[in-house]
Amino acid sequence: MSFTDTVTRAWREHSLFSVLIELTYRCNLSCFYCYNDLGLRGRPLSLEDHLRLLADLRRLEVLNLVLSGGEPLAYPHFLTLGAEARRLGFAIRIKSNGHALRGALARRIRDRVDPFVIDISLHGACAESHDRQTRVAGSFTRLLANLEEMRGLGLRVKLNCTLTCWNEAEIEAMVRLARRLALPLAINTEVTRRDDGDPAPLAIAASRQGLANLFERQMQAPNTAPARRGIDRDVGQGDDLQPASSDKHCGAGSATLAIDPVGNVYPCVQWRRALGNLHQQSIVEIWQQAPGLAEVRSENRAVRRMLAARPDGRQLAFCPGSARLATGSSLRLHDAARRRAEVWSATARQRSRPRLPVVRGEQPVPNRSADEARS
Amino acid sequence: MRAAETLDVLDDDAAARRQPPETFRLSSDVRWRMLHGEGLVLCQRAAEVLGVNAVGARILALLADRPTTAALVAALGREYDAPIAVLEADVERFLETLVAAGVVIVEPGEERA
Repeated sequence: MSFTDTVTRAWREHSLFSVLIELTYRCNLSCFYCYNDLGLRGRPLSLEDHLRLLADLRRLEVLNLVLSGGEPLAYPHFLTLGAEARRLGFAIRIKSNGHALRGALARRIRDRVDPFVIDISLHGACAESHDRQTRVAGSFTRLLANLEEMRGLGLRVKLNCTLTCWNEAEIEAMVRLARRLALPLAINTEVTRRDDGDPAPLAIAASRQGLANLFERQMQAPNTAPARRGIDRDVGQGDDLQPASSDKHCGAGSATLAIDPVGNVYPCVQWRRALGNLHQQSIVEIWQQAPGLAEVRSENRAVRRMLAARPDGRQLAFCPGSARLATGSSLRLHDAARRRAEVWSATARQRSRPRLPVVRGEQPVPNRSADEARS
Repeated sequence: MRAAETLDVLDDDAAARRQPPETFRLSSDVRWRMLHGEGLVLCQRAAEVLGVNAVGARILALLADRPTTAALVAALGREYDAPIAVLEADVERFLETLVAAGVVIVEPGEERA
């Protein structure tokens, strides 16, 4: 059975496969477009609550465990929890800004947590753009040093970048930077509202030209589609994993869950429809009994049918959670998806037009007679 | 000269016979879970996923005790209705495959006190 078959079956049979835990919303950076709801109210989960959660997830045979934030390393018991997650045999993914990942802490994470991968946010190819996003001077320079150190320690690192109007002119430079560091880089295209609905981050969404430049680059590789933010934020449900035979659009609520710092449980990190709270119920009870899950799965099937009926369905790179946040409905197309599909189609049309032969690497020869005529 | 070589070989064989049997354990790099009655195995370093059937998954679970081949065969013999010779051959082949894939580590047996 291939991995895609396994994913298909997990979606179909509702096998909880991946869980993302937002350990804290505290952070040592201050990214302008951070999507966390910093006004979230409720009693934070304690270390004991988190340890109980891990034990329950082990019983549910969850394999992928994503430790996120905020900055997950700002959670005071991170190493204790990470070590326990390792003991319980989870494949651990850490989503971090990388600012504190150096020295003794980086070594402890390698030795005690042994993560499968650490996802690090990259906001540009130079200090000007990166630090503008993080709003912490020196964060870019420090990140580069930390990335070198992590690589030297043998930690598996992946870079994630969200395309914005602040970094869209640096796509090639970011690719070159990732190559120089020998690290994989994923570029996602959608800046979303904050989880409380605040649209402020949309002010720095990538321009149409920025999207077109990225898509042009992606189209140079076959079988690609516009990346959506979900690849970054969801767990194992990017386009590359979307099984053709599934009756659902994604694994949200069918194979994945996300949990915020005060114990609210959601179908995925982007689809913020609360299914229950860990202060009232265990994750096992929520997974097996939450009425909201049946509705999410039903909506997910409807999304699949809706997109299948559209010729631009794949180009939309649609995220139901993002749509719900923007429009109030997981089934309604939101502006970002529409715009993405339009730019993708226009870029594809542009590429398919016949082009004049160009000899690369040579300066154009001036038309002497025309120049002379003008003078 | 020839006799001496023969003696050396005999000595090695005899030493091998005295050594306790090897034990097997999962590589610390491996993560795995039961999914739909089968084992889904992730090799982190290689970022590869393997699937094993239900009996294979049972063997993976038994590896937590760092068993010898004989102990594995005995445990499976109690759980599955199959001739021991068949189990033995299957287990050895399965372990060979997983050792080659880096999923399972072979360790020298320890002398019993």
